[in-house]
Amino acid sequence: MSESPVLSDAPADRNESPENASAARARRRGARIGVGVAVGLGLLVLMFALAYVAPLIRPFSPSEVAGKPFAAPDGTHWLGTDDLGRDYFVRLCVAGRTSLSIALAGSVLALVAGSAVGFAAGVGGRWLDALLMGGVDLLLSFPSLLLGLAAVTVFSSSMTTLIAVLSIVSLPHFARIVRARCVELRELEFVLSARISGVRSSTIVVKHLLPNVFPLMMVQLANSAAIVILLESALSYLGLGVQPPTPSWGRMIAESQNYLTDSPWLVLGAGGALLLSSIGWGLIGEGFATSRRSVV
Amino acid sequence: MKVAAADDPGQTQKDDARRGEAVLRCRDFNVRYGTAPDSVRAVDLTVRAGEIVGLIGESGSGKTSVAMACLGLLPKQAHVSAETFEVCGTDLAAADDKALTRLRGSEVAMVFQDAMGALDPSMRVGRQIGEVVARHRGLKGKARQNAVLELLRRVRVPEPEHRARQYPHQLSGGLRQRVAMALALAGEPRLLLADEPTTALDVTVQAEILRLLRTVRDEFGVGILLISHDIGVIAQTADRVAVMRDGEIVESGAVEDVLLRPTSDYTRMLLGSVPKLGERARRRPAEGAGGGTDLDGAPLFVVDGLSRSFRARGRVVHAVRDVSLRVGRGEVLGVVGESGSGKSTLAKMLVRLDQPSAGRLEMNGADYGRLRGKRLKAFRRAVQMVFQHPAGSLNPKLRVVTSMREPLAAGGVTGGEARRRIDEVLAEVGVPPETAGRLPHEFSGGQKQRIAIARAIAARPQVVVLDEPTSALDVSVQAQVLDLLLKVQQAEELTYVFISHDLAVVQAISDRVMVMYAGRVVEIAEAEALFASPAHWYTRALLEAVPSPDPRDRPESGAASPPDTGDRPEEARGCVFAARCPRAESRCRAEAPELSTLSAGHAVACHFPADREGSK
Repeated sequence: MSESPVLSDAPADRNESPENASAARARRRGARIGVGVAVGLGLLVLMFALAYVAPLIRPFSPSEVAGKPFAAPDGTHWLGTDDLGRDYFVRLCVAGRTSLSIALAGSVLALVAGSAVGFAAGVGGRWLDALLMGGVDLLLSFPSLLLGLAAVTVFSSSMTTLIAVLSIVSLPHFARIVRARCVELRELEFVLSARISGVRSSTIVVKHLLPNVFPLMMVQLANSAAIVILLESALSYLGLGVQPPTPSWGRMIAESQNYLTDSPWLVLGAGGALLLSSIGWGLIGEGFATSRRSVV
Repeated sequence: MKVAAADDPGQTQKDDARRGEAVLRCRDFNVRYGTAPDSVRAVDLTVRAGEIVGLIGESGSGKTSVAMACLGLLPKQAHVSAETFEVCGTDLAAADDKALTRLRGSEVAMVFQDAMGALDPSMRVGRQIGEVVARHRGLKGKARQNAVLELLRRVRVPEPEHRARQYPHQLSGGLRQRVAMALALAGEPRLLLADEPTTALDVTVQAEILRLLRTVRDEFGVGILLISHDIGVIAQTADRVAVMRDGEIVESGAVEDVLLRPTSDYTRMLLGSVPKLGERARRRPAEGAGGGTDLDGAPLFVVDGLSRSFRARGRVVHAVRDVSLRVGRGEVLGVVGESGSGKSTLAKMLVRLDQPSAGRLEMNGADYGRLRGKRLKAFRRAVQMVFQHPAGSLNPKLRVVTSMREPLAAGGVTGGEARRRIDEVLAEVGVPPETAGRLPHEFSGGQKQRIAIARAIAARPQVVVLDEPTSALDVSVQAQVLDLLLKVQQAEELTYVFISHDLAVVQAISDRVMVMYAGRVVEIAEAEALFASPAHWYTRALLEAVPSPDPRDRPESGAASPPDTGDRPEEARGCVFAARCPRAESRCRAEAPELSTLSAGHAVACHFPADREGSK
């Protein structure tokens, strides 16, 4: 190679060294992800923290009658009281425990199960692919709320049932996204090279596919968490969610909608909490989506 | 055509009949992206109406930036400065968006590498061209229709009435590029920018498009700026040439001056790197030293009656049909064919990425075509593959050393031993071992391909299948990688199956060459014999179509283009090449020729092999 010193394929003699350029790009990208994800994450962490800390900083329990019904917000009752005279702020925060943890648990479960299905369909044979994707399509063809209603009616409406059913209805999206990406990736040269080298399928999934699918999975996790939170609230609103006396946002909206004209803060409080948590998840999802490093 | 009367720039004024006013003129033209140093520097370039100016350069030399600037299509962060920058008399530096829009299409048009991307897939091609005709010439109804057909006829599209009603995906690659050309010419531009217009095409189709470019220059009188990395393409079409390197024009002038009597070192190096047909200078050094082919011994692997068919929409497509071959230990077998010839499917079956529909695959005397599980894994260690795209060969998220450990780990080599072997092979391919901890995007394309080669040989395979390993690389890098492949083959005592569409590259590296067409082997012979006296008409067509880097080899006149029907040759009942063959007779269309031996080691599937039929 020494006979052509004029131009070697080493990048070092080019004007811009790719190392510097890529480092700079990475830094800029880092800064960009930062804002969206940090705000979203901060919002959710704050809400989680409030959910667990509120009963400690306020001298009321969520089920205790703490004052007159329909008291307007003031120094003692930060968000007033509900129709039974319970402190609304404490109830709202404690309800957050249910809603937020169901959303997190449900979507993480969906991520794990859905991705497993997606990877199996993506790298398994044609028959396994057809079978799994057929099942996923079947699941997708039912409206998720209807499925939730059916499941809650058949089984009890405990937290476990809710998490299970909500993860099942959001699983198909993970499965489809992961499979689609795998189908794309499995034709790429580095995956073929690994196969030719005799690397096991499971190793290929973990080492080659997972790192390249992961950002997409994160985007979907955030999206489905936002959807799960709304679904859970919808079920609660219909009276099929977590049963009283455990408070939940959906049920609180349902209970207080009769008093909308006289005590609007009741509906607005629960609705607002729902909105804020959806925005939080949405921001995280958006952050990952824009930061997603495209492959090849 | 008076192409032989290549002009030096000083004489152009006298040649007014053909060469009109300047349609592109730039002096001291610079492009800067953001705060980076100028990526195009002090470029002086003039294109006159009725001439083709070739712009040669390797990737990253800034040639596409120049073309995009002429259309005002550079990204926003690009900053253009120039002393003069005029397109068809309009000062582009001062033009606003409205002026630019007017300019595009009616004064300047562009033909891209990927014709499929340039055409709207959901619109009939006639309508697409019609839209441009309507916008720029204000024609309606029947007049517009006639103008469209006239355009298609002038770019030599056969059966224009029929083609105008088709969608882009129904056209063959060559026809698609012709239609894209018609689309570009529909607004009657005076400057046509062609950015690598033939790079994605097969060599026989490329020859037709190059002929078309010359026709377009003469018939439409446009000035063409032809951008290419391929010196042969430029040599066969351009009147004047500019050579670009790292954003600067290092040399320019009449095509014969630059390509035959280059003055700059860079041009000389570039010309020297081009593998030329008929030259086997790069042959292995140890050929006589006992390291050569041992064809008499037992072959390393034997392929017998291998076929692969796919079922697509109820139709059976035969990608590979009844291929048989033997490859000796230490041999380099070149496989040549155009796209769709089945060469990549063959490669995938050889490494068992794909299962043959029929036939046997044998290595060292054992059948490996149906192996599964552990036994397949053991076989895998003996065969490796190098792919075309260096970018895809390495997992972008894994450090190079991690990717390289993979084949070693599959063979049970791990830890320090693996690391030693990795350092050894990296050093062997000329990549500093201490860079192994980096991620793939920190390497250039050529380096990535070196790493891919290192990865393939790390586990000491016996056979490496190389699928177009140099096609995505710049010529200078390509020459280095070819040298490297030969060196590695010697050092590691490897057998290569080298697949390429590039005949010159195959000739430079192969001991024997197999030519495929429509899934069948049409000819197989020792490399020297094949290139010296090709027997199959397809092989001849391929060899003739390769654009020579010598402008004096330019065909004098536009010969009639062979019919490009877009039919599926693999479905023919007789000889697969009969539809395009100059020698075809009724027997060829009725009866498929068998592969038969002409002389020792030279077999051809043809009823009337070239240069042989006269003797009978």
